[in-house]
Amino acid sequence: MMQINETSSGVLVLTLTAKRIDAASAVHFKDDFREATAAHSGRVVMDLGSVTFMDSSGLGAMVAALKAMGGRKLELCKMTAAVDKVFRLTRMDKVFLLHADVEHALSFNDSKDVDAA
Amino acid sequence: MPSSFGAPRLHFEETINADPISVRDAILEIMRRIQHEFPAQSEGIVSTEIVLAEVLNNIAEHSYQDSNLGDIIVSVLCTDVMISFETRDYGLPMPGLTPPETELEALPVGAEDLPEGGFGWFFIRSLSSHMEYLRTGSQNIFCVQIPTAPETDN
Repeated sequence: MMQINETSSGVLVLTLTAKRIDAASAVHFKDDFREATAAHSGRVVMDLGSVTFMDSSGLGAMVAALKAMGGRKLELCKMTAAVDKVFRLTRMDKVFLLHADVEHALSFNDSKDVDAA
Repeated sequence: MPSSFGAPRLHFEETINADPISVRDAILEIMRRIQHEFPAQSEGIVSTEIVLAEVLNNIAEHSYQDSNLGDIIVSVLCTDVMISFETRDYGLPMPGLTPPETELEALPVGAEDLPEGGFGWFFIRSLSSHMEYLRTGSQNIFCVQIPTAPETDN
């Protein structure tokens, strides 16, 4: 469901490979996210470029993933139109940190306003 | 049917089993047929897919209580300006015989208090122009209509 990479500066980049985060895949997504991030205390950036559809179960799973971060921000990038729509409708776009793509997310790292968590 | 809805362009019906994988497959197939007919209406298509998913998953989760057993009959009617779905199932009636009222509350400040559910009816209500629920005998009938005409503000 996701590819896991860690940058030299310690940012965990999760690149989703699933096309749909929905009622059929939400539990699987939550499990994979917890496993991928369990031993990591730094920033987590998730590339959602492959995800063409997300429903309310998928959105709930994203919120569960955020809660599993224990107070850190969960950073999302490459939101497709359908994903962007469910985030904007529920105003969850204000709760997650959104970037255009992974490159922007990583250069954001070099600027100053990152929580030291 | 009022003429402002436009003439029917696509009308079909499918019976699906009420489990998450069959529901997903049915959504993909229904969206493939709709998109084939309306290739240009991206905004309405996104709304349609979200509403369809929420309606079908609600039936699987609540009407059939996540048993993964039970038929959902979905019929789809498209015109140039709207897509409507009618679903029929034989599970439990909606509590109070009416779809839940859902308001989006102000999101809490702390991430720990964020809701992980309850978005489904909010999506259905926000993205549809009309919906109706009827319990008749042992059958639930739910109709919902999504406007698909291109939005004028963009």
